[in-house]
Amino acid sequence: MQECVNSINNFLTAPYTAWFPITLVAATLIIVILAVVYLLAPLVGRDDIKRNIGIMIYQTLFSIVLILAFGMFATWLCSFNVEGLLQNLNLILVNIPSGVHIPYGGNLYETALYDLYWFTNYGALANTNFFLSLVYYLLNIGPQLSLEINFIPGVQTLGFSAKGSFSLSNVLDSYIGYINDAISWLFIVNDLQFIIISAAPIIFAIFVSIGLIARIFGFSRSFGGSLIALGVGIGFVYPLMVSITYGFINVAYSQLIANMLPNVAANTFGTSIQSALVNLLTGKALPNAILSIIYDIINIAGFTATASLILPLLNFIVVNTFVLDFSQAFGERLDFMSLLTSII
Amino acid sequence: MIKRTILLVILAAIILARTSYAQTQTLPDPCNSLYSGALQNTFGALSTASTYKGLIGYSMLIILSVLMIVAFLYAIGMAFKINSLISFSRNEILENVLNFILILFVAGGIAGIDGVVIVIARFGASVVSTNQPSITNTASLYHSACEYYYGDALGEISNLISLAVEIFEISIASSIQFNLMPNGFGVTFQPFAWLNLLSKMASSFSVPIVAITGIELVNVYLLAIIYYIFPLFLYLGILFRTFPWTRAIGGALLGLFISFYVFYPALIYAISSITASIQDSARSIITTHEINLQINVFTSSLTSSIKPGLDIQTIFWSLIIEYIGIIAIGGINTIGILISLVICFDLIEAFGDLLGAPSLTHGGVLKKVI
Repeated sequence: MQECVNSINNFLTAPYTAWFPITLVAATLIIVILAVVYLLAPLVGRDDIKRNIGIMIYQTLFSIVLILAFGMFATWLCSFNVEGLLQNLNLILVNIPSGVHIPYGGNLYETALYDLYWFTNYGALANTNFFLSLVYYLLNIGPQLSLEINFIPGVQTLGFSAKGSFSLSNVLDSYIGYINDAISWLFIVNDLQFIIISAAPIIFAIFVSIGLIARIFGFSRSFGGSLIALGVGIGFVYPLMVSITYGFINVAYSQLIANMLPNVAANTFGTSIQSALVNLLTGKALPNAILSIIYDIINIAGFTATASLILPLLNFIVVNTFVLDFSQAFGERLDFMSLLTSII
Repeated sequence: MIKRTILLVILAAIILARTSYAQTQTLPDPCNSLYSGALQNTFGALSTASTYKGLIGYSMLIILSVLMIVAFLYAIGMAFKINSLISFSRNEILENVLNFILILFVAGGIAGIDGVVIVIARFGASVVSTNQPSITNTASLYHSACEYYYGDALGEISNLISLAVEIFEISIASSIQFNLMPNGFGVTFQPFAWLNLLSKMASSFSVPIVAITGIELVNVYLLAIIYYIFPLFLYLGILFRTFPWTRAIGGALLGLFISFYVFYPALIYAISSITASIQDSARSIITTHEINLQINVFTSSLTSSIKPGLDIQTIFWSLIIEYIGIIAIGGINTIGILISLVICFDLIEAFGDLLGAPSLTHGGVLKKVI
């Protein structure tokens, strides 16, 4: 939390970016000049100028109100206990092994970072990565059948032979290959989100501040509005979406994984004492266990793939929608996803 | 001593069996835990709209506050004769009255959403005879769609395993070799070597089966994400529509909610009802070919090595038809998912137009996502 406050406070108060008083002074000066023009306009018989100046004064006053509101909003954002709020909605995983720091009473940025960190390093993505190697070994375990009949004992080159090796990897290797490739890409996508989340407070501070300054002047008003929309979108809406969506996924995953071991045990031994004894004695327990583990791991891989693919997409769509609509309301239409797509 | 050991083994087996019996109380089916199990209890607050009544109260309070501010602005406009302020205030008053009605509609019609979802799903499913469970509320609709696609995804995995077994059989048959080299010199005869071709062909079928499994599993968990997270968009949408600067975003969020929470599962359920009825007939055709293949692959392969090109053709045909059938069954479901997604993205644009969200209108949301 302190880092968040520092990053915004430094920007607000640092000498080389002492923009806050400068902006207020500049805004006051602009209002004074506009007021003078407003008073002089009727004297030269230009009522149209008077009307326009009136609107410009309102806009400048509105910019000052926005600057003050931003200061208050930024302070609230850094101190508001988002973790507590989300914990009430079961959107924070708190039942975790020792050694991991839970941001009790944490702000929006700390909570979002924690959720993403848990998902990538301890949760679904990390576990799927670990389990896939297990599946790989399981798939390569299999019987090898070898049969040889010799017409003359000891002479191997006269007779009949047949051999075949059975391993699921013959068929499922491509599957594992695809999942491995996908997991690598998903790690990249999630690491990219780490960078954005880590930079969110400073993006919020810089973009919104510059946007507010730009909004004071008539010629840069629309540009300022767009920057405000981008700053609020990436600096506020995006961490909010990440903390909600990844919080949900982490809690859901913890319950899914808790069911995995009992599920494997049930499939291995059956549902009664008799079936357990029969499965053990007939040797069915081993293939049942292997198949059950494969099914469960593929299920978890499906869950992870969905979470890792859909959540960033959903978060980016919501942020893009917000930036697009908000920028249009405040300034120029800014479609950063289209820009990004065009660049790519 | 031996008796004691036997007794100990029996005791251990009983203890093990009892332990396993105790563990089977947990449901292994993810759809159960998603919609009627532990997750439903944990996230009941997210999926059931009634828990957001507080938010509705807050949004109404905000609307009243905004109305008071707008009325004040209107009064200033009238006093100083500022026409732009008067027209702005009038528009805002109308918009807020509309929001007020919208909130009343939502507050009174949370159960109505259940009704809308069910009507759409039943209407879609009514065109075909289906043996899927009947839908009584939104949760049961999501549960039913989840069970269908999860079951099909697992079926595809078992198809992959049976494919592995088939390749194993073929590889044994193809490796059969007769050696006639008594002094290290002579001939070897491998009559079923051509079966390697079948093995390679069968291996290539694994790729589309894997893709179908992946898409169906993603759909299962996508439904869960929609069910638990998207109701939030409804309330945020109403809240955002209160303020003039965030009205467009509010419209966009409402569009997302209506398209995906209401229409997507209903479409998925309706399409799954249609595909389920097609699957039954497709499955019987495939089973016939499967039996033919199992009979032909060993009994006819010897004659085929004597009369090459005759029975081989039959076996190849059977194998191709069997696996194309398996892929087609999964493919129908996959196409159903894709069609539903396309319709929902189109609906988002329609709602964007209706609710005044420029980000969704003419934007080609689907194009962006792709």
